[in-house]
Amino acid sequence: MSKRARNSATGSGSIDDDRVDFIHVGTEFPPAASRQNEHRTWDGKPRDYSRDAFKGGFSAGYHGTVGSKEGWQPTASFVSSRGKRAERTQLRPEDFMDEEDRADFQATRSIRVAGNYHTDPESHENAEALPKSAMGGIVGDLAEAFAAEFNAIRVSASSRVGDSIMASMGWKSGHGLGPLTRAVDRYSNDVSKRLPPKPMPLQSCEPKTNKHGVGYGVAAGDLPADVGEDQSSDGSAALPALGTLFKRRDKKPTEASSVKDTGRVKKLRQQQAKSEKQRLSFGVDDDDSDGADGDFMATSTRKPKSALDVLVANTTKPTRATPFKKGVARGSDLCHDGRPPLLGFVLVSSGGPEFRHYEGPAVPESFTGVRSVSKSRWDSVPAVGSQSKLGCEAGRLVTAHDRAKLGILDSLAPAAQPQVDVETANAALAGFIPYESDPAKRSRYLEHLTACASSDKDGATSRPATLSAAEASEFARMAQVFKPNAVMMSRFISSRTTAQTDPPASDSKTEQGKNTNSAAKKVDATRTTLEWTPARLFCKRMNIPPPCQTLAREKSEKEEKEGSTKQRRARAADFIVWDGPEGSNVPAVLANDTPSAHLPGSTSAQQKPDLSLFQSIFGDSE
Amino acid sequence: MAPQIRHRLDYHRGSVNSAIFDASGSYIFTGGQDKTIRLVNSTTGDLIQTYLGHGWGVQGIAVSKDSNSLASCGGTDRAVYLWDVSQAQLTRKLTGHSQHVDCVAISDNGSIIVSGSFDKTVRVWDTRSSNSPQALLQSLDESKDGISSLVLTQTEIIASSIDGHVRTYDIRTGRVLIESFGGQPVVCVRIVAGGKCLLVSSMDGSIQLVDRADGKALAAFSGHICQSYRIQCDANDSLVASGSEDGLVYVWDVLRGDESGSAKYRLGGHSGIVNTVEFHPSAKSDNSKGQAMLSAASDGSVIIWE
Repeated sequence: MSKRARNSATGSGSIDDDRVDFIHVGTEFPPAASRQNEHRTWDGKPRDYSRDAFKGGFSAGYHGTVGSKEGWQPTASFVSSRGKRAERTQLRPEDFMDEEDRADFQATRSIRVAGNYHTDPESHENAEALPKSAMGGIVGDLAEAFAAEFNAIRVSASSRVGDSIMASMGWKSGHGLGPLTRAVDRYSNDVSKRLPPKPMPLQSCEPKTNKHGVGYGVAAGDLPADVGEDQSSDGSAALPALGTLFKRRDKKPTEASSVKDTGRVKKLRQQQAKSEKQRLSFGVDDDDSDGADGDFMATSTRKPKSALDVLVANTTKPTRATPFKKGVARGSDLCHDGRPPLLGFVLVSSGGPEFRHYEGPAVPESFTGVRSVSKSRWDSVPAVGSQSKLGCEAGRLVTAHDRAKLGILDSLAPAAQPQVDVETANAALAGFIPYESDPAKRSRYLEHLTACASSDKDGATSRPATLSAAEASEFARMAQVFKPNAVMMSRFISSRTTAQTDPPASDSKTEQGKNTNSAAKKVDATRTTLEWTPARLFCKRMNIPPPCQTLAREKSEKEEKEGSTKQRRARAADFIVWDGPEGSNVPAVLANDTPSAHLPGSTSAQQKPDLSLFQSIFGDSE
Repeated sequence: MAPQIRHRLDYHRGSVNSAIFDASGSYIFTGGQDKTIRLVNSTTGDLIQTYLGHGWGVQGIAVSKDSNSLASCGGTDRAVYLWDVSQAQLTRKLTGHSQHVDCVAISDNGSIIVSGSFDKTVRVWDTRSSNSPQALLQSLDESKDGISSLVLTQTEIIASSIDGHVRTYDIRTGRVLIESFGGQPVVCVRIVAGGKCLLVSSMDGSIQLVDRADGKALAAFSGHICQSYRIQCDANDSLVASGSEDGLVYVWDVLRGDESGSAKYRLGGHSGIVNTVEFHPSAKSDNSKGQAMLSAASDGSVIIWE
């Protein structure tokens, strides 16, 4: 059948009856085109390269990828660098360049001044030619016009790709953007011809990287000199703070501050303001010729009065100026040797200790604070000022010595004794009485309890303070502990309690007397408590803070992990000998982790590393 | 007045092992031996959705508070299934138990599933973890025998075990409280009275109402038969109900539980072992639902009472 198909394609056509069955759809392949790559394989190896088992297999060398075509010996082009490894080759940038880079590099070497800086590749060849033709051929204002046009061309195109895109759409370099204008060509006076639009020069947009304000750069001399004292520090509405920037004058305290400052603070503020002013206004002083603070902003840049200055002049009120006088006594502005402080520095008046002390708010007499007693470093610092009113108990541990020094009333002392409240005292009396071996203490304990149980506060204070504070607190604790607990009572049989618990049990039993067979007996739960550790993520999902054993377990797991890696590193550090200059190659990490005994200098090269090192390197990771 | 049968549902073929209300009480989830879980509207009794995916019978169901996630445990396939309720899709299949899983509980927001199994462990699973091995957060194996029932509260896991103990794992304090009630296997544990009491049903045919604070038994109920099967019970403010192996639902008055043998009501309607009973969740807010409950039996019938 295929034969028949072929014949029908190539031959002409006597229509066979058999051929009618075939319909040819599509075009045939070109006859010889596909045979070009027959002798080539995709990876350059010879055809039938595979040395699979049926063909004898790969031998160990060369095709088994060990060795080379020449055999086991490497090629002649191989140069051993074994001996030269220690040498350090100084690498130059040229070593890292390829041909392209090297060409560029060499190009930069020989720098010459270009005739013109036109960067347009299209008209490069015309660039050199242009000036001559422009200047030589055409004279006069025509030349100017031409030059202007050609200069406009030289405004650098920002991106060549953009140019080429526009050019593909019909733009020519040197034209502006937009459709052809209806302007009449001056030279030809041809109405039908339309000129391309004029190119507009690019607006350069530079980001504002400075921090000064609107009027910066305006010379000091251009400012009205009559900006004076009763100007607020905020300046005029139009130019905030401009006045302070360029003029030196005394600043009043701001009217905005509503709180009446106390004398010292006010003075401090004034000083601060002055020093700030000094900082900002150094150097700019038209009267001071040599400028005690240096001549940073020279007054040579005087521009003609701009609209800005007119505005300033119109809106500011005329006030008196206080020009800087050299002879004015400014004692605080000079250092102890009579010289002014260094440029950029400000002299701060050293205030007394009260300068730094903030007096604190006024505490009303009736205020009794609640603060937990915490041991602070400043135990023996006497409480000054308002803090002494709080009694010094809160927040500071005041020793007895200090208390005497401060004159704090000792009436506070007995009240600090821990009180046992009436109920607890009564209950404790009914419970177990400790101190069997010490009858004196026992009697004191009983006395204390009876006193607490029977009396209220007045009684407590009237009672002679025979108990020390420590003993009183101990008794209070004992009372709490030995106060009989209902739970404990039920656990342990005592003659009193059986009477209480028996009746209900017997009642229920008599009630159930009828149906004893199917009676459901109440069974109390026997309880045991153990500990378990909920998983941390479990606690997190349930929004419950994990209990301490979870945190402890986590911490210990983490430490274990860290500990094992540290151990491994420590063991490895023993036996890794570092070459090179002493100490320079030791990585900082190892030096920190391991103690000094493991420094490389201390190990002997003959020590054979033990098995643990190999295990730590090659062994299973945890 | 005794509770009346409101709806009797026969959607399942084979025993219905577990039936629960959702948090609002308007829907019922039932799971049975026919490997399906069905969602039924409790007011109308219409079948809304069927969840297919279990390879073997369903032993326990739990639904999250927002009714978006459904957790169910298969008996013999030893897995815990997590379903998306509205899509009726199986979201996760948590494997790890080595024996059949009998009970499951899910947290309110659906992020934690706790499952108890015959392999003596209670496993805590994290549904939010993407990686399957990391889904198992914890495995609690203090029990000596299979876990029969689980309750998951905001801060505790309460697990009852056939070894006769009820273990309360308190997550906040990290302590587990082990309570034993006479040594009989405990088949069901429930929290009642807002968390103050525990209802414990044991295989000697008695249900104890225990105060959680000190472990004292407040009341005991008996009369039903619970000798060989895991019969579940429930209680609301005034009534205690339990299934029974004789096909009746037993209801007691909480306050007069000492009078044994005289259950307040013994409700018929099922013709098989009544496996589980649950009260309507809004018994407190809605007085008319005071007696509304749900019971499921081994004949495949589910009855909604009111």
